[in-house]
Parts: sequence; structure tokens; C-alpha cells
Amino acid sequence: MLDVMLILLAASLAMGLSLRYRIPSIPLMIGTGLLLGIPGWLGNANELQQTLQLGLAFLLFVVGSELDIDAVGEQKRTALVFGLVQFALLGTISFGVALWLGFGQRAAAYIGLAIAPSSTLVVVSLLRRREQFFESFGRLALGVVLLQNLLVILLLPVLTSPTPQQGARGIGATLAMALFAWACSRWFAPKLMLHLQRDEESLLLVMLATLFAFVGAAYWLGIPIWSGAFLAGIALSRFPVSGLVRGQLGSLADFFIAVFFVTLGVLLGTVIGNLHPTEVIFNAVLLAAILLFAPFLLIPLARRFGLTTRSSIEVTNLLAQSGELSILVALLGLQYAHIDESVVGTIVLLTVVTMVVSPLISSDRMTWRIMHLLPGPQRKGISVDHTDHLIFIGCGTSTREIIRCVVAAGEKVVAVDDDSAVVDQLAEIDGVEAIRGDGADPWLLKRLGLRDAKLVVSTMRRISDHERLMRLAGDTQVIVRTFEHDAAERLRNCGATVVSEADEGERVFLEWFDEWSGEKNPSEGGDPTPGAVA
Amino acid sequence: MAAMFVGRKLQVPSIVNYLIAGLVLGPVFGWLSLADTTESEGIGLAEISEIGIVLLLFLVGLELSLKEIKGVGLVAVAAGLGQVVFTAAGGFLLSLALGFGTIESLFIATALTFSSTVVVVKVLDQKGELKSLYGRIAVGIFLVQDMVVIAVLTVLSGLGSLDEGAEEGAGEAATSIGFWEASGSVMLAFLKMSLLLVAVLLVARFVLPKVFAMVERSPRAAMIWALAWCFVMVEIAHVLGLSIEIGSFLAGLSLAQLPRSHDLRRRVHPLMNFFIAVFFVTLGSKMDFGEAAAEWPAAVVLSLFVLIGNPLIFMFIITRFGYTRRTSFYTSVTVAQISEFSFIFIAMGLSMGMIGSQVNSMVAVVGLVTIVSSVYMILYNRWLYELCERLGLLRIFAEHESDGSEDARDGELSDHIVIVGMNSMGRAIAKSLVDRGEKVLAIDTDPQKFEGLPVEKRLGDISYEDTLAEASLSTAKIAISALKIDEANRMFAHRCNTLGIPVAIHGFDRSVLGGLEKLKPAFVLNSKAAADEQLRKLLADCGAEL
Repeated sequence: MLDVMLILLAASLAMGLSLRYRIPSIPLMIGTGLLLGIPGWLGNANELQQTLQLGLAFLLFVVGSELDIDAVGEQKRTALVFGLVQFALLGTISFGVALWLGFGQRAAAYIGLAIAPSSTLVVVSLLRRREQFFESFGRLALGVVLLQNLLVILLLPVLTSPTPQQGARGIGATLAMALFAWACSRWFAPKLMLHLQRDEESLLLVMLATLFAFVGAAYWLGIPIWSGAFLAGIALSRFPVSGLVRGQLGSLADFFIAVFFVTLGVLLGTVIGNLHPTEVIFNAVLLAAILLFAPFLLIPLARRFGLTTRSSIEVTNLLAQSGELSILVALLGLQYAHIDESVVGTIVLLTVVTMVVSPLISSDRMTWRIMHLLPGPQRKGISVDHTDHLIFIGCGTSTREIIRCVVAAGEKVVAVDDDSAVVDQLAEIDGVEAIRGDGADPWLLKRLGLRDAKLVVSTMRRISDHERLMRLAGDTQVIVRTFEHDAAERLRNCGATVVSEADEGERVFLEWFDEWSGEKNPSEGGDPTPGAVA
Repeated sequence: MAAMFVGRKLQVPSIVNYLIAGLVLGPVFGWLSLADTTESEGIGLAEISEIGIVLLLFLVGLELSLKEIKGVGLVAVAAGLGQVVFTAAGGFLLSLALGFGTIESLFIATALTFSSTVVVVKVLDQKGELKSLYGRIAVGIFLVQDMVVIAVLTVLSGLGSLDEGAEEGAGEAATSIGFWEASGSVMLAFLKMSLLLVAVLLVARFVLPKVFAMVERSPRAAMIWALAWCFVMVEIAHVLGLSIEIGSFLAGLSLAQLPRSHDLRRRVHPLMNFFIAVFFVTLGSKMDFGEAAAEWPAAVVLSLFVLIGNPLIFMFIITRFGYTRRTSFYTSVTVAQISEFSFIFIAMGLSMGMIGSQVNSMVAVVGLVTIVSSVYMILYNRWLYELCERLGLLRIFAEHESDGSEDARDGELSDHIVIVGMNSMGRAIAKSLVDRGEKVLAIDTDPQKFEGLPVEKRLGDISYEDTLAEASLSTAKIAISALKIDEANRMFAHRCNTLGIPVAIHGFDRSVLGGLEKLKPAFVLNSKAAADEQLRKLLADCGAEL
């Protein structure tokens, strides 16, 4: 009980610091665990190893359950190609650098496989916090981490098996289990879970039974049991099963993830004396540099798939960290005695460093800095000579309808969007000057003739983008669309005319509600109109 | 899980399923060895089971406020101590009559005296009646019993330290040590408990609200902090020589006053279910029925004593405090089983050579019979009460008039509107509906978003079924989600459809509309389309030709 208390106190401290300084909690948990481990305050190593294994099983189960292929949407193909190239590129460079640093081939292979995947936990949490799941780069990032995770668990048997034949058999067994997990997610799990959905205790047991059945099957097939844990999560990752297990799994995940990362820190603390700190730090920093500079190589690739410069930077920066899969690879290598504690220390330190800097390098500010470093070809030759024109920034389907109307009525329109397909459609409308670019880019805004325009309409998502626009627009009237009231207030204070989605949503709801209540009240119990859409 | 599936078909309570699973794994097939529980194997099942008990009692504390506990303090102390004396005396005499020796009878009597906090609390939690009057009295009684257990352990350790002599000699030693040591231990335990309670109340009043305000907006961090506090209290209780149950209960009680206590309870619940399942399976696997066949008549008599005698003793005491026969009956039924402590206690006696292995097997049978039977008795206590009343079995107990508080339940909402997600749109809709005279209940994970809203509030995450149950979703007129989280919205629509409640869902992005429409909500609230409409009007007002 004393050990549990100390682990939870360390996790609490890490979470408190994480909230205070907006740093991901995982590296802080490893750090506080390290502080516990160095003086050797925690129990025996055997007990810690078992805690670590239980925590890792839950961690990978959670990671698997977060990865619903349907959420990738139309980005599946792009994710497949981009993910494969990124994985191969990072893996190969890291393998080469590890060899250059003097690691043996096997250790270098472990390092290559550890650096190639990004952290699902970090990517998902950043996308959720920033409400960017539905942006094209968000879906792409999700697809890429799903692919990376699958590649890692497919390649694990190659590293851990003593002979190539056994490795090939391991890949076959993993593929078979992955197919079974996919079949479970489509047919078996929904039937079972929907049958049990009113009973939380049964749901929890089914969830745990799924986890341990997959782990048992992996053990029986001779592949790493953690692959089983991950695939068990995949088996429960589709809606509505994922939603049903979320509540039950969420609490277990929070607890076991905290326990896992703190215990990992503790174990590292207990062996810190065996490490060569200078070497570990040097290697980790060098390898971290690969991860952090890889985006510069990958941005052109992302742009080839039709992403704008900004989205390309955002997706590559978002993926620039190692994570839980990296730690899994390291721990497996240690378990099979293929790598020593120094390599594990290097990989963990690398993970800590890249996770800490991840929110910073994927921030808006960093994106803009990189954009300035990368002048793209579309930045040349844009010059709008109109006056008294209408400027539309962000041209979704409904905005394009409005544009058609105003052009038909004789207005001159300049339309800006970052999606090449949208720009192509805009270009087909007579009287519209369609420009592909990011409306938040000051360079572009300055060339749109903002101050000579009759009106600017902006439907960009981020408040900071609107505010930048307002600063450059001078006295020109700007209509912006936003959701939250506090954002609307801020923009009104900047002089914008605001269309509040929240207020408009409320209005249409109340109109519908009045009608619905009116229909319902005269004949109590009447059915509402199903499927009505505002 | 196999036991759960079979049990579900046969309507068997989960505890019984777990015990059966344990029996199958342990005594029947021998797949689960008792060695699994030793510390040398790493994290043993014993430790996982202990965590389950800690979390269970932590949840009980979170559920009950100090006011509710205070109200039943006197009856809990009187009934708890009174029952210990009467049951121990009755069990001792009965065992002597059944032909057991003095020392064996002493051990059997002690094993029969204590009821299982874990079994009862788990069943009451499953029934949703922890907060009922009889649930609160039962919890109070079990806490008192926990302190007596400490006294018994003190006596036992005293006996263990004595030179192992003749049985009679040990008996005399037990008698002399028993009285003074037990009295001293109980008093000391009460003193320590009182001091700890005062300290915890001060911390709860002046420290914890400020500390937890720091993680007010992060439910995950709040859960980890609460668990850390729970285990700190467990360690403090351990250092003071109190039980882990008392430590975790006080930890829960100290957090029960926080605005986030309900949300914490919902989050800790799945964790508790996980760990406590291990506890019950382990309990079943440890039951040793080796020589039970030879002792079956004694096992039957003693089981009947626990199942009928124990509740009768309680009925007698509780009705003296002015409670109705119904409340007294419901409370009394909860104590009709022996405790997991009984097995530990008997095993200690066996290892000291004070009792024979036939006593160990007999107590295992009594344990299995009484735990399984009492689970059903608690689950069907209403039916059982009415049956006893009809047969006139309860007429020997005085009836008191109910003041109404005994059966009072929280007023359940109905015909109200549930709104999830207090973003700007959710808040605006809530305010407008209140202005129209509707009863509105708002749900969000962030307490700051409720500020200034004239509605019923529930802090919580709709991923947890309990959050929706506490919002009385099944009796709502309509449900609305203003959230901008696709999966949560679809899940909410799915749950509303299952309950047959009309639901309006926020279609906040074109990409989510297709998925939402498949779920056939009553209304998809497309805020973007509505904003487009407004944009057209504004453009026209600004002089743009449309």
C-alpha cells in the first residue's frame, strides 16, 4: 500500500505541474518516478516489473481503442502513403545514426523502430484539446499514427524472434490477429456490447476479458503479448462500442497510465547508476534532433498530397515525437536482452524530450515561424488590383453558394481558401478571383487589397487568425463567424461584425422546439419528427 | 466472465458469480494456487484484493456526507457493540452444545460475530441503496465492527506470543488476556479513530477545497489526486493501527463535500469493480472444504444461526432506538453473513495449532452459505419483509411510526430537459428554455461553465452511464447535446434512442452530419447552416448585392 501511495503521489505531482505549465503529463510522470527511484524508496524490483507490465498492457489497450479507422475519413489513402514514407524515412535515418553512434546492428534496429512511431496519446490529446479532429490534417495525423502502430506491432516479431523463419511466422500470426481484431470490431463486439449495455459491471468484464483473451492468444501464438493488448483495443475501437467502453476504460486507463509511467521512472531511477549519463544524454539529444528536424523533409511530401503549406507543417510537427510504442520497443529489447539499460535510458529520455517540446513545436506560433522559413511557390505573383470588391476568406460549401449569388448580382469577388479542390471550384465561377492560400498568412492578406475592399467575410476557425485580419483590414468592414460568446466579444471589441454560431444555433433550435412542443402538446405523446435538420 | 454470462442468464448477483468462479479456479480444479497470493510472486492477488477493499470503502465515504453518518452514529455504536456481545455469546454456547472444545468454540464464536463490510457494501451499491437510512446504519455498524476486529487481532497476537502450552492453559490465558486487552484495544481504537476523524474534518474544511480547486477543470487530475489522498489516509490509518477500511472511508468522507464528489465517485467506480472482482474470486478460490462433509450438521446449525439469529439480535437492538420494523428489518438482514476476516481468523488459529482443520472446513461452508444467502436476502429484502409481516413473524418487535424521513428519497426529476455541454450555445439554450418555464438540467465536466445558470446542474462526463442516470435521462421530456465532440454526441444520441427519449444533437461540422443522421435524432442542430443564413442577411444589410 505504501508503494501505491508513493506512485499516486508522484503522479499527482506530475499532473499538477502539467496543468500549471501546460506540459504533457507523461514526461513529468516519468520524471517524478525517477525522483522516487533514485533513493530506492519503492519496494522490490519484481513487484515493480509486474506493475509495469500490467500498466503497459492497459496503456496499449487504451491506445488501440482510440484508433477508429472511420475517424480518418477521406484521408485514408493519404495517411497510408504518407505514413509509410514517414515511417520508413525516420526508421532508416535513426538506424543509420545509431550505427554511426557505435550501437550494434540489433540495438540500432531497436532504436530505428522506437523512433519511427509517434505518440498516439500526445497526438489525440492535442487534437482534442485544440478541437482539430475534423480538420484535414487532424484526420491525416490520426490515420498516420494508426498505421505506425500497426507497423510497429507487425515488425516486433522480426526483432524479437531468434530466426528469420520464426520472425516471418510472427508477422503472419500478428496479421492474423489483426484481421481477427478488425472482424471483432465490425461484427462481434457491437453485438455483444449492445446486448450488455445497461450493465456497467458486465461491460467492464467483457472489456477486460477481451484484453486478456487477446493477450493470451498472443502468448499462445508466440508473439509479444503487448501486441495482443493493442489489438484488443482495436477490437473495441469502433462506434458505438468505443463509446460504451469509454467511461469504464477511461478510469482504468487514467489510473494504469499514471502507474505505468511513474513506475517506468522509478525503474530507471533504480538503474541510473549503471548508465553513462553523458553518453545517454548526447545520444538522446541527437536522436531527438532527427525527430524535430524530420518535418522539414516531410513537409514537401505532405504538400504533394494536396495539403496547404500550413496544414503540412501542422501535421508533420504534430507527429514529431516518440511515445508509448517507443517505450514498448525499448522494454521488449531489454526483456529479450537485445539491448542494455543505456539504450532504454536513451529512448526514454528521447521520448521525454520530444513529448515536452511537442505542444510547443505544434503551436500556431511555431507553424508561422516555419512558414516564413519556407516560402512556397504560391506566394509569388499574387496581387489584387480591385477596389470596392468583396473578399471571402474560407470558402466552404455554403459560403460558395453565397459567392455565386453575389457574383450573379454583379459584385466583384476575391475568394481565398487553403484547399486546392475548393479553389478549383471557385475558379470555375465567372467573376471570382480564386486564390489558394492561408487566410491567416499576413503576407497573403497584404496582397488582397483589404483596405480598398467593400467588405471582408471571414469564416476561419481560429480567433487569432481573425484578430490578425482585423489588424490589417483598417476601416474596411469585416464580418467574421465564430462560435463562443467570449470570442465574439473579443472580435466585436476589435471592430468586427460578428455572426455568432452559438446564437444562431440557439435560434434555430428554439424555432424547432416551439414547433415540436406545439405538435406534442395537443396530443400528449405524439412522436417528434425524426431526422429533422436545421 | 464466463461465470458472469451464465449468472446473468440465471439472474445471479455478481458477487455470487465471482465466488463461484473462484471456487471453480481454486478448490474444484486447482488452477489458482494459494501461492499466487504470496508476496514473493510479485504483486499478489492479496494486494489487488486489498486495493479493491480500499476503493470500495472510499466510494462509501464519497457517497455519504458527515451529516448523514452523524444521524445514525448512536444506533450504529449500540447495535455494532451489542451484536458483537450477543452473537459471540450465542455462537460460543451453540458451538459448545455442538460438541466443540472451549478454544474451538471461542474461535468459531468470533468467526460468526463479524459480518462482511465488502459483501454488504457491494450489494447496497449495486442496489443503489447506500444512501438509504438502513444503508447508512449498516455502514455505521460495519465501521464499529472494524474497530472490534482490531481488538480481536490484538488478543490473537497476545495468544500467539504465549508459550504454546496445554489447550486448557491457553484457554485460561485467552480469558485473562481477552477481557483487559480487548477492552483497552477497543477504547484505544475509538480514541485514535476520533482523533483521526477530527483531523480529517479540519483538513476537509480548510485544506482540501483549496487543494482540489487547483484541479477543478481537470477531471482526470482530480481523480488521481483523490486516489493519492485515499492511499495517504490508508497509510495513516495503518500507522495508527486502524484498519485500511477506516482510512479509506474517512478519505472518501473528507472529499464528499467537494462539488466534484459525484464525478469522482463515477470515475472511481469502474476501478473498484475491477479490483473487487479479484477480491471475491480470490475469496472463493481460498475456501477449503477438505473435511466439511464430516461437520455438515454443525455447519447447517451455525449457518442458520448467522442467517436468522444475527438478524434477530439486530432487530431487537435497532427497534429499541425508535426505528420502524421495516428499517430495522432491512438493516438486520444486511448482517446475515460472516466476514472474510472470519477466514483469516480461523486460518490463524489453525496455523497456531489451536483448532483442527475440520473447524476450518466447517467455517468455509458457513461462509459460502451465509454470503450467498445474504446477498439474495439483501437484494430481495422488500419481498422478504412483506412475507415475514404477512406470516406475523415480526409481531414480537415493537412498531414505531415513521416520521417520513426513513423512506425519503431524492426527488427524481421528470418531464425535464437535459442539456449536455455548457458552451455558449448550450448556455444560451438553457437560459431561453428556463425563460419559457421549462425544467432544465445541465451537464458539463467544467464547474465554471455553470456560473450564473438558473438550472439544475450535474458535474460529470456523459461517457459514464451513471451521469445520465443521475440526470434522470430516462424520464426527461427531451435531451439536447450542444457538445462539439463527435463521438460523445453520437454516443449520447445512441443512449437516448435506447431509452426512447427525443434528442437534438449539435451538428457542428459538415463532416459529422452524415454520422449523426444515421442515428435518427429528432433534430440535428446545424449551427453552421444557421450562421450562413444570418451571414446572407448581414451581407444584404451591408449593401452587397444578393
